[in-house]
Amino acid sequence: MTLKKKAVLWIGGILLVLLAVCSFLSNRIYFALLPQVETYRFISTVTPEDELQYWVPEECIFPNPNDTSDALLYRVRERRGPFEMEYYAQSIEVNVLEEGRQGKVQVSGPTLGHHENLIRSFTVPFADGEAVEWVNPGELF
Amino acid sequence: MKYQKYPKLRLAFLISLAFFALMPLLYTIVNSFSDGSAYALIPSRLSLQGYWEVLLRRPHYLKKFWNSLILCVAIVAGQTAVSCLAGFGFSRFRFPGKDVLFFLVIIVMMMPYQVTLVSNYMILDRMGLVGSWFALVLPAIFSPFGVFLMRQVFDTCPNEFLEAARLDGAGSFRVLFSILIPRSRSGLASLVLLTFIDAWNMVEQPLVYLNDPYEYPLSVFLSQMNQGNVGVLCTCGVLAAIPVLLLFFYYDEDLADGIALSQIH
Repeated sequence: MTLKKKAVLWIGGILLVLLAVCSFLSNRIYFALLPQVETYRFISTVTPEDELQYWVPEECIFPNPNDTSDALLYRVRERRGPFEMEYYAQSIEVNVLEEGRQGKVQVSGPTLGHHENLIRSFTVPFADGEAVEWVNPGELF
Repeated sequence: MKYQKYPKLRLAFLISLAFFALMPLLYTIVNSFSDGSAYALIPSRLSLQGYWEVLLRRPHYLKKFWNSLILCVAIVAGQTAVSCLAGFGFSRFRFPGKDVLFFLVIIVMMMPYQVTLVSNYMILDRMGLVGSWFALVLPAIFSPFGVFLMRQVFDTCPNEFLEAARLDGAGSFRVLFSILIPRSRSGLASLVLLTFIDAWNMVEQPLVYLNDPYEYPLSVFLSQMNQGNVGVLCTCGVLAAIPVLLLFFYYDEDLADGIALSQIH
């Protein structure tokens, strides 16, 4: 093997190791810099007559920047990330029907699941579909 | 003698041609240090933002790099093995329909990849492989170009070597692995290099066969270079160039010999 080939092998090996280290670090940095969100566990108690209307805490209501509905709810979902599973925020368009009953708001919108984790607070603003760090995944109520 | 006239003029002409050929690579390297606002011959503001974003801030780009690398290694290994065996068969065995089969190999080699894209998709779908990397690796392993190249390279080995080996009691595999392959290093180097470049640059296949964008190789991301931050895109371009350049520097002496041996003109 010529000296040139040896040098290329060494450079290639060193670059691969560096890129592997960078991959590990970037994964850590990515998760460390995600917006942290706290959720409210919404448990559906609706009947078939009013299944598209439900009460949610005021802090779960976010303004809709697109004016396609009165407001947005964000629920936390899980998906495959670059190297591991990650949580992300998914928006739900809702219209506000009634406000201010014991800190809750009645909204109408798509049917929610029986258990939904609605975002109620966050550290950094996020967009629909953006990955987030869910700080209270194990909290039931 | 007439070619020795105007040597400086010819040199200047060749340098300018080389400059135009290298320009896209230089442009990519220079713009990888851009702050991301716009493409420019010399960026108005130099920044390492692209390198920070690609190498440390987000793992998405390196994930694509590793996807590309793993796919390429699998394809190169598979294609080299299959091409050596098939090339050996075509070069050293006599069987009915050999010439017709080899003619078919050449015909398939001439076909653009898009011709067999739909039928490949249907076969892979039936096999339940769509969405997995096997859908990319399996069709790429059976490359007619590799078979053609290795047959041409093996044909150049004198029969006397093989006959001597057989007299010493060597079987077919022994002949292949101990005589033909070691004597065909330059051909193999060409095959590895050309296959790697082909696999490294594939765009249509991942788009058609894979469903998860996280499984896409870097080439798919680079094909959408008209969107996004210039610094990030050019840094990804630099990242994509590194393995190919390293492989080229490793095999450059063998490449010309290998192509000459295969008698491709």
